[in-house]
Amino acid sequence: MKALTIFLDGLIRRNPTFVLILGMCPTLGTTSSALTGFSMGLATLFVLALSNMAISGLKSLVPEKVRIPAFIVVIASFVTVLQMLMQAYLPALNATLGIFIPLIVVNCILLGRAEAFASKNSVGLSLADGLGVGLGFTCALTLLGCIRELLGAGSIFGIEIFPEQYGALVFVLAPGAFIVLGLLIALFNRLIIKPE
Amino acid sequence: MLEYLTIIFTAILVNNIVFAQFLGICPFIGVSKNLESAYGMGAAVAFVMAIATAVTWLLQTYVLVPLGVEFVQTIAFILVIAILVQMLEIIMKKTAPGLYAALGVYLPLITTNCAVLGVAIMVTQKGMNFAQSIVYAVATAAGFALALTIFAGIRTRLELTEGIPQSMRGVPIALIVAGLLAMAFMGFTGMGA
Amino acid sequence: MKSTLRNMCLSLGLLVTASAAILAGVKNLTDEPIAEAARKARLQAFTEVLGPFDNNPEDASSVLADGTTVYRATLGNVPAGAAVEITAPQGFSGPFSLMVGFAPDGSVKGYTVLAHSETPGLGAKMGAWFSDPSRPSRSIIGRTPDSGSPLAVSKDGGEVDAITGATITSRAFLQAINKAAEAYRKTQSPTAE
Repeated sequence: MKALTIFLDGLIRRNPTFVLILGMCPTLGTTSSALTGFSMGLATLFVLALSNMAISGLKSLVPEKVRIPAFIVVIASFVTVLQMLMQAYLPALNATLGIFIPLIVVNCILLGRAEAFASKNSVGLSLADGLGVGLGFTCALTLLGCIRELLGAGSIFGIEIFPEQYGALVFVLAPGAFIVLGLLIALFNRLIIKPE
Repeated sequence: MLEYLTIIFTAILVNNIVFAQFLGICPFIGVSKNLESAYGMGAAVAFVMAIATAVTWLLQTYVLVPLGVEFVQTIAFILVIAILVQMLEIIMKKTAPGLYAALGVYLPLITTNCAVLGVAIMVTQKGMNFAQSIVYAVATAAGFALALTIFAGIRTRLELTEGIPQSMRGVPIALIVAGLLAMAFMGFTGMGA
Repeated sequence: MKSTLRNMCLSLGLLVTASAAILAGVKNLTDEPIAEAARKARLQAFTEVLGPFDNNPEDASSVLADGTTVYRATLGNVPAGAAVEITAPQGFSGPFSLMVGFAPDGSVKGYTVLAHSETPGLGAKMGAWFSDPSRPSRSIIGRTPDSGSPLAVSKDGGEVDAITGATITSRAFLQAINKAAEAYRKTQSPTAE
């Protein structure tokens, strides 16, 4: 029961993108289409769930003063594993996401969850937290990707909704990323955080 | 010479790290509430980025590649950057207390600034030589500082603006401003070619 | 655990060793699939631009002075054209690379974009724009670029329609195709064999 609450908390009430405003770089950089946003979310979810579990399991073995470097080593190891797996089995996707895959290491969400949650809670709860926050991040990126792809290219996940030439290209380009994210955060503020 | 000018021009305006490459967004949003902290953060990032790129370039060329262990790049680079930032903090505190007072508070934030790791990885991917890498790092940091300064200037004005709907205040309106700035910077695309 | 120096070194040392062991293990497991994936991607590109062939074009390749690579294909020991891997240095947002297939008579059989960073929705359309058989004024398939009449966009007096809103990309693309054709002719002349 507690695990479920923690999971839902990470998904909505403490959504990393819309509420905590963390991990902005991949959020803006990889959401030019629904598919790339979704894949980036899943890649982050993978590292976050595993690193949360590993850090929670190791917490009694790591001295207080060196915990941050230790967390970085754990996170970076999982990122490198992910990089190698993607190069081997999903080379096209790896090329599309490019530098944002190694940069998962410096995504503030991961170190933030390690420090605020995994280093204080059990392995099971840390997994629930990792899955919840990771899924919250994935949903946010997919939503942003869907909106940008729909407005910019007239499709969602590559399925045509209206002809491409009627799309406003600016939403696929850099400015659209900032503007759509700004409006989504405002919407989240209005609907979920302060229901008036 | 022309080659370096192209690198500088491209890194600052055409491929601006914030508006075109989406790196370093967290400090861009977080430390842009007033001009003073924007200057401080910009200078601190320039300083760390130049040194970090130099060290990681040497590490990549003379250690990782000869040993055939390029696959540990991510983990090696982030550890080097983390250690470097710590060392800089200690050295600055002892030898340059004036500089430390100005930049010190921003240093811990820089470890998780993805622009620093991003530039270190990008120069190895682009196959730049040592001098090009350093020029690229400094120019990219200048582009970051430019973006941060413009943005901070606009945000101080935004603070005084009345009539922004409650749910749009703070980050949402800042992001929309950033979107308009990104649109302005798009005017530079293609000029590097 | 207490933060004594011994504990700190011991735990970090163990952690790094464990991580290195895991990474080395995963690298061993993925080395083969990574090489396989790269080979498959290349083979896929060959099939796309060349049509049927039964040799391994990688065994019959020659690299020219500027880095352009020509892969010759045969079908039943008869030359079946060649694939040319070429980089266009003057793209709108930096260089991009193409694989261009030529029939034995020197006409373009097909092409595929290997890597690019052109603007999505504009220059990035080049993958499909120049190969649409239903739009003969755009398509370069079947055209024979030679030194006397190189391919050019209609704006420059040529016969090929440029991508709407992306003339610079289109020029760079056609220049690369011309250069690839030249490279193909060079390796075809008897002296090269």
